[in-house]
Amino acid sequence: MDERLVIAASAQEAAKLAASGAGYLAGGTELNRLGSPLHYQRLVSISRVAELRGVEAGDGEVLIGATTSFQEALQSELVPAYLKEALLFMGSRTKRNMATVGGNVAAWRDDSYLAATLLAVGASIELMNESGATRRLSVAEWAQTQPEHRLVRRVIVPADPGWVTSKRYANTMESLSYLVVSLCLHDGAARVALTVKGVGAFVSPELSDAASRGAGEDELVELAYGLDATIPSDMYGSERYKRYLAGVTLARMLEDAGRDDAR
Amino acid sequence: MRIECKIDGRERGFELDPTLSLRELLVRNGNLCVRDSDDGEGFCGSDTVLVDGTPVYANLMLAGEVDGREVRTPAGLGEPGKLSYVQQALIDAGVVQSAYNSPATALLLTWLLENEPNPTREQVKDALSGIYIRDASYENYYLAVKLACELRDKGGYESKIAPDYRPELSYVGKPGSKVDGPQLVRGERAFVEDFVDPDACHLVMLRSPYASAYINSIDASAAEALPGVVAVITCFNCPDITYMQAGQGNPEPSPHDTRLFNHKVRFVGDRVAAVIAETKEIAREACGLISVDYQVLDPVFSVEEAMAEGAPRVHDGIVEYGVGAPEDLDEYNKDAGDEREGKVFYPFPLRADIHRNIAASNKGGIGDVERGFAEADAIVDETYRTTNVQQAPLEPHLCYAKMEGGRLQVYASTQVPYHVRRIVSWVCGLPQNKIHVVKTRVGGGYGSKQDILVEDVCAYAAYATHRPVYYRHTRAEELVAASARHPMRVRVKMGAKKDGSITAIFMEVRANTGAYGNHCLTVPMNSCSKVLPLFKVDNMAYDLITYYSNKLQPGAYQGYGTPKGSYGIMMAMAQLAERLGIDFKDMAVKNHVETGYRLEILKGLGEGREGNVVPVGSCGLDECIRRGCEMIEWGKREESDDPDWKIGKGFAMIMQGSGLPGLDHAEAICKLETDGTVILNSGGADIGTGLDTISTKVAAEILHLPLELVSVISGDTDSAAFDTGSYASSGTFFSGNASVDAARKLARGIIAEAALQMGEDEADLELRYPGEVHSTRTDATLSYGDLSHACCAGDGRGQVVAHGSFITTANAIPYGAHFAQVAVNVRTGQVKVQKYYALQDAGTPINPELAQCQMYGAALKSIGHTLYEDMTIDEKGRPLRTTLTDYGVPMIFEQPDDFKAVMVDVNDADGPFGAKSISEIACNGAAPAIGNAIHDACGVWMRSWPMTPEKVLRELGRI
Repeated sequence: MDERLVIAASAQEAAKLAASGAGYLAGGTELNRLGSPLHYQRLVSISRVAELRGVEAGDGEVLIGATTSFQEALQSELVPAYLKEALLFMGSRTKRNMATVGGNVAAWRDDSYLAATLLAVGASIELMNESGATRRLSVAEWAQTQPEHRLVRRVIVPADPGWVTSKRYANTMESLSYLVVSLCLHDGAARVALTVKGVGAFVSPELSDAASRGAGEDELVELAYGLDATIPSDMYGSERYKRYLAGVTLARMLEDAGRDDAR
Repeated sequence: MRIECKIDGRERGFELDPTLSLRELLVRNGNLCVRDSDDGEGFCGSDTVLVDGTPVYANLMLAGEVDGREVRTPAGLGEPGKLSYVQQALIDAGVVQSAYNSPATALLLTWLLENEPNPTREQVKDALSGIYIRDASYENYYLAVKLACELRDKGGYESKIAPDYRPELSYVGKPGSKVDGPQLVRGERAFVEDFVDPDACHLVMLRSPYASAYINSIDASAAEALPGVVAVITCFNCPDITYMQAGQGNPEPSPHDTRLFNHKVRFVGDRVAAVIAETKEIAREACGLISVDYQVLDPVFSVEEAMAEGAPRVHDGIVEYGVGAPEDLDEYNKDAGDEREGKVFYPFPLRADIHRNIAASNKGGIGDVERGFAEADAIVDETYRTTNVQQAPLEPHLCYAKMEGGRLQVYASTQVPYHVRRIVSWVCGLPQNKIHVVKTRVGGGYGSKQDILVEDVCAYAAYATHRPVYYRHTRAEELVAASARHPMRVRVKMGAKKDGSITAIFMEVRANTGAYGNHCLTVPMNSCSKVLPLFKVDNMAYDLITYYSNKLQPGAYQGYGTPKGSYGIMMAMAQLAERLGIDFKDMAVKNHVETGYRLEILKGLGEGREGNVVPVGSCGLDECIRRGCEMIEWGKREESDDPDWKIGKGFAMIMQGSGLPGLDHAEAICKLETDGTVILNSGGADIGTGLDTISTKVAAEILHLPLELVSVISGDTDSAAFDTGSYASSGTFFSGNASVDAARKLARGIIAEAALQMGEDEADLELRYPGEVHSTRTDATLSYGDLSHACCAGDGRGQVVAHGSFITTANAIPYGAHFAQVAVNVRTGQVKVQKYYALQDAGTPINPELAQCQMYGAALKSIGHTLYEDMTIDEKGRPLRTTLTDYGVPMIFEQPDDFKAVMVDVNDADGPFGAKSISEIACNGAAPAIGNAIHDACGVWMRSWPMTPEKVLRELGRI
């Protein structure tokens, strides 16, 4: 057997190989791309593991197999509209055919297409270890711990978490994003998540509280100016611009929610 | 690992490293059409294939993953000798131009039509969402899909492809028949990379990490000792020849200020050493083993820094002149710096002062601008800034060179084969007869391949080592070390009377030529010479200075300096119109030139020589403005349903040229072959725009032959005669006219020979389709085949051959007006171009569908420059955007939903069959049209490009 690339037949086989140092290979858009920070001597391809693919309905949840591609998820009637909005942030159809939902979570990039939305709705993931045991943890926990070698088996999102919207900012559709703002409103409570280039994805308690109170644009912008995160001034724009944009985008989202009677 | 898979319907098995990319596997399998234009970034889509029926990027998939799967590549489309209906429709729609991505788009659209037989516009958009197109935009791909459906269902087209022109002609002015279309859409051997021999060595360049530094020493011993390394070339062992890389006419209006390798590096990315090795991997490894001792110097990046008192000198060596040296040159040179600075040679004076970082300058004008301003009721005086932006062709700069039969053979993707030969001749010290430049198909030029950025070093490496050498820029090298637009600061002062009559215009241009002076005079000159002649104003003046800096060297880019001049002057005029309370359209109409107006302003605006003062010839400007205003409903205020979005409209008048009168030169040789067919050897360089098709069409038209009986061989320095090249919008006008001249002379030669063979008077003979001489007196006929056979049968007078050439002082100026409707989000600063209408007087578009697509392509590029493209550097001059993802080119999502290119029919007296240039001018309208539309939408004047959301917000006072 050529160990440089093993095509795994099962999730557990993949997890075992990963535990011994192999890297997971799913769609390849992250691992095989120019400039990828990830390099492995051995790879285990999980693209043919049937149990990792497909979308199922659960109890108030939607369970998305990790190797389900962005495009397959978009074509699933089970995947909620708010997630499709985020999936479409990846403009290239060809890339959407390759990139996987689980891969996007596993990579957890600071320009992630899905991270802010998943954080805002309180999504979870199911991990598998080399003995085949699975456990579930929130995406927020995953973001903090990212345990090595664990196989992301499924991404689990609420079917109807409330009123959800996400907005992505990038120079062009195919450029990397410098800001994604996601808002989830449920029973008057808001959860606001941001993905900021150079910072990463996080839930903002300050903005969430303010949004829950129905704060206006001025207050939200001021709060964004004061956010604790170290937002860089870079080729995408100044720190002030990005903070302003986060605040004003959230304000607009709340206005839209008001129009939709979501508050 | 052993893998078995099906490729294009054939079972294949491979023993390979499974972590090889699928693309690499396919290329090794002979599928050259699966190309790479982003080094595996997953951006451009040149590497698109279908795996089990799904489009994927072959660079991002490992070969081992296709075990047991089915792969389809563009090579599997169509049948031998027969195009598929999708391939045919793509050619006929005019989108197969430079065509580096044409095979991939053919595959994607085939996949689309197999899954959605009658796709919607949105489905076409989705299918092409992962494909980067720079030459033709995406607009006619929608048409291509429609045509494909019609061809599939009805066996022919019902849709109109493009307007027809000149009903009295057979080929000229009619869509269709791009002669290289089948080769390109199939992905056959066409580009430089397809001609690289298996034993070729690879050249990898070590580049400077510093913006300014002397090279004290280079230790390449470890690199040279690495097995497989053939040579390492540095400033210490390269020829001591000072030259320049701009492919301009000789003597060039640019300083010779560089060598293959300099002892001083002048920008981050400047050449330090070239490693030639038997594999690319070895060459890369060897680069890492080279030790360089730098003496780091203070850099300057902006024109303001460069012009400051006491600023570091970017070039501080001895200055020499070919002619016209100033009397105090010896005194001037006493102040030269370190000998590692090298020297700067000016073929003729460009009013330079390198001690003040001035690479070139010029000033002049007509009338009395001060008096004109004194007469004005209102004056605006504004400054506009532009940044480096890049041509970003799909195919990067690349070259393959080898010694063959004692001659140096250079395969080049170039717009200027003869300039390449001259510069390679200088660098190698070889006479021109020992150098053979083969211009292959060019996978996108847009000016970038007017500059000789790889051919010099690649050819020298092959000559010095006597090994075949291949050199291909990575995409990062393209963005770090290839040429770009000159950043400029354009100040426009314009005065007018209350009725809108402009009384005076003054343009002050300060350009940044970066580390080297390629095009340093002519680009900023263009900012004035292709802008001021739009106006019938008696008092106009210009003052331009180009500064050296420690940024990468800019060069030629479609539009040259004009987009920046256009931006400044049209924005200023709009501001002045507002101040006077006059509609911008009325002011434009009142002040623009018309046919017969004598362009005195051109006298001082030559390319380093006195310019030609000519009257305006054909001019469709009025029609362009009138029709554009109707199309966009000028004056009608559009309201958005969303209060955050404000809608506005703007437009700009534009012009360009058709080559360089008095400087450009084109030749063609036309031969009647022994069967009566014709081969035309054109010196012109078809860079995908259809120049070979133009030559074919004009020759077939003149000689009354079917198109397929005329073959054009072009851009090969061995087989054709001299041509200055494809730049400055010269292709159709100069090279096309040379082909016309050659064909007409061949026609005369055929008549003269026929008169002798037929015993008739020449006056009684005419040429007739499909290639025969007919006597109007006797009704006798003689086919070209019989005529030519008799010429060459041992007792004849020899083959009928004609040599055509073209030079002129005439200036077939294309004019136009571009219109934009934008929506501006006043909360976020985002700008969306909702509508974009490009209207141009096109003369006779010889290839109408190709011309239209070039207008679309140029306009979309310029929308990108206007709104987001930018080559940002950090405080040390290090480029931050080294991938296309970061650089940010417009793709199908960014294209305006309502996008139209309209050619206004105005015949030109001097162009071939009335043609004039069409594509370059289309780069000039976007910035001012969009800028003025933004103002109309939300009241702010955008004084720099790119007009980013952050800048809009700052102008709105929101941040």
